[in-house]
Amino acid sequence: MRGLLLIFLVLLPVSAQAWTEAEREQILSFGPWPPEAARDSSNRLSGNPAAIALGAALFSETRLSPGGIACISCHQPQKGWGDGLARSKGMQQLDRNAPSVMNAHLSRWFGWDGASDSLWAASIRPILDEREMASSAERVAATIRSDAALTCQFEKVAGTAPQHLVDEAVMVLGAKAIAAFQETLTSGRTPFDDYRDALARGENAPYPEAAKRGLKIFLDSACAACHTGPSFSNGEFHDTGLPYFMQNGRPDPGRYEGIKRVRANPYNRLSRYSDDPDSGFTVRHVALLHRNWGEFKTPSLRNLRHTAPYMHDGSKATLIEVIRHYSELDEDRLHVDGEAILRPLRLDEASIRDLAVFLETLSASNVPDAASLERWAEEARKCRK
Amino acid sequence: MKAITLALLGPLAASAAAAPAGACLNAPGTMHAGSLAVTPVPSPIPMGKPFALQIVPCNAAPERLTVDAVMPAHRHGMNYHPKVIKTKNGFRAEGLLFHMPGEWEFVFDLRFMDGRSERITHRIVVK
Ligand code: HEC
Ligand code: HEC
Repeated sequence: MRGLLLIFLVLLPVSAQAWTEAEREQILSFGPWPPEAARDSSNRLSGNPAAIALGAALFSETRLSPGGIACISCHQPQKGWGDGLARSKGMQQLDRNAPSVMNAHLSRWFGWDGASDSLWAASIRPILDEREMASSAERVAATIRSDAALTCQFEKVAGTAPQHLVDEAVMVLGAKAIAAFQETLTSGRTPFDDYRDALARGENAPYPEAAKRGLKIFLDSACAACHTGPSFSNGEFHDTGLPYFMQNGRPDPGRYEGIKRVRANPYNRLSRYSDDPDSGFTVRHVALLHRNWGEFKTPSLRNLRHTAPYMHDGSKATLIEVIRHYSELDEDRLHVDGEAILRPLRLDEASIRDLAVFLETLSASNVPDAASLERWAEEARKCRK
Repeated sequence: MKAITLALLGPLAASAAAAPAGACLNAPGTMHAGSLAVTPVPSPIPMGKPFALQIVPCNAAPERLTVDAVMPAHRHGMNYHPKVIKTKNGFRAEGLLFHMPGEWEFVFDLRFMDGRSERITHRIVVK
């Protein structure tokens, strides 16, 4: 009997991957998930249910744009809240990929270049951008005022009818409501989260061996220098050695322009529309440096299964392609005077697959869908005085 | 033997010469960088979140002070410019943020009334 037990123990798969204390600590730092909900103090509508309903209705409101384009045209629930295109297309062709707005509320900066410092400012940007919705404060205000249900819901949220406010104030409150809606878009738990929480309790949870090997490569390859914390993003900007040039042959200055734009943004956290100018730490202290040229925001690595293609220019169709990029990095292309973090990893095929399997386990099967948007929007569309 | 006594007495003598009484007492989390007692707020320094530093010169009275921080292994600094203001018994630096885990080096540049300057560095590991 004892002998049998021994044999059984010996045959147990070596699933209890022996993590060092430092590795264990690092793995735990990728959780817990979901993170505690935090209100955005610069947005007085943050967390307000009536505003969430108004925001959901406006998110899919095509009349906001003369071209019939709404947020939902490029942030589609069934495409992981992106649009599935390499480079997004609105009134005109864009140069960048549409990021998912799921979990976006956990960011410090918004947009690949961080040209916005709040979710509500990032929601004004596409409304006014010629290439995206090509709209205006006048048009947004007129759309809300001309629709009885939207007017009713707006009044419920703002305490004043949209007729009594200037166009710009109506647009800003509308964008703040849209931001409040986007704050509800948190993705569900993943196989990695279950493994991580079990590790925290000193237990073992089922987790594929290939994913464990991939996690080990992730830690050994310094991926977590930038992909940190529960979102797997440090929220800052880096150059990962992608080509500088856009399709039109011009370079994309990335963060360098982003910093100039956020400082000049009339809707930043220091502006008169901010409900908490004291929260403007980022825009007040951000430094404009030579190395910011060609830097882009570190994206979250959650839910990549739903959000291909990848990178700011949508140039990588699959996760395997992204990993190959890191594996074969062109060091001459990376700044000579830039940060010295990334090195070509020269991974073999098996390791590339393992790393991809690990990244796959960061995707949730339970993500907010079109029905969750509709439930909120319905509430606003029913509003009657 | 003499050397050891001296070495032991050294820091004591230094703190005894501190200008404002009690200024150099240890607060929880205070780091000692050369002649500076530096206390992060909050402490320990959180990864990826803004923090400030209370800086008390112990046996020196610099007129001006600037703070920066770099990651020696990565050859880069912070993405934010800290702002230093004078306080009752020293300085307060605001607007620091460490956006990566690992070893960071604080660089304090002190300037004195008589035109002298001094650079003090201090390394810490952020998790
Ligand atoms: C034409 C397609 C398009 C439309 C329409 C559009 N977006 Fe976007 N969205 C993008 C692209 C492309 C980016 C990246 C912009 C950049 O980096 O310059 C983006 C970025 C964002 C971000 C930043 C996400 C992050 O993680 O940094 C948010 C938030 C966002 N959009 C919300 C909205 C809202 C709200 C609307 C409607 C008011 C909207 N978008 C309309 C394409 C679009
Ligand atoms: C120096 C910081 C840094 C390091 C280290 C780093 N990344 Fe990234 N990662 C980024 C940035 C920045 C981007 C976006 C680049 C762009 O689009 O220009 C990115 C993009 C990605 C993407 C695409 C996600 C999307 O939604 O488009 C994946 C996947 C990824 N990284 C995985 C990894 C893996 C795996 C490693 C380790 C081998 C790693 N990263 C190391 C900063 C980093």
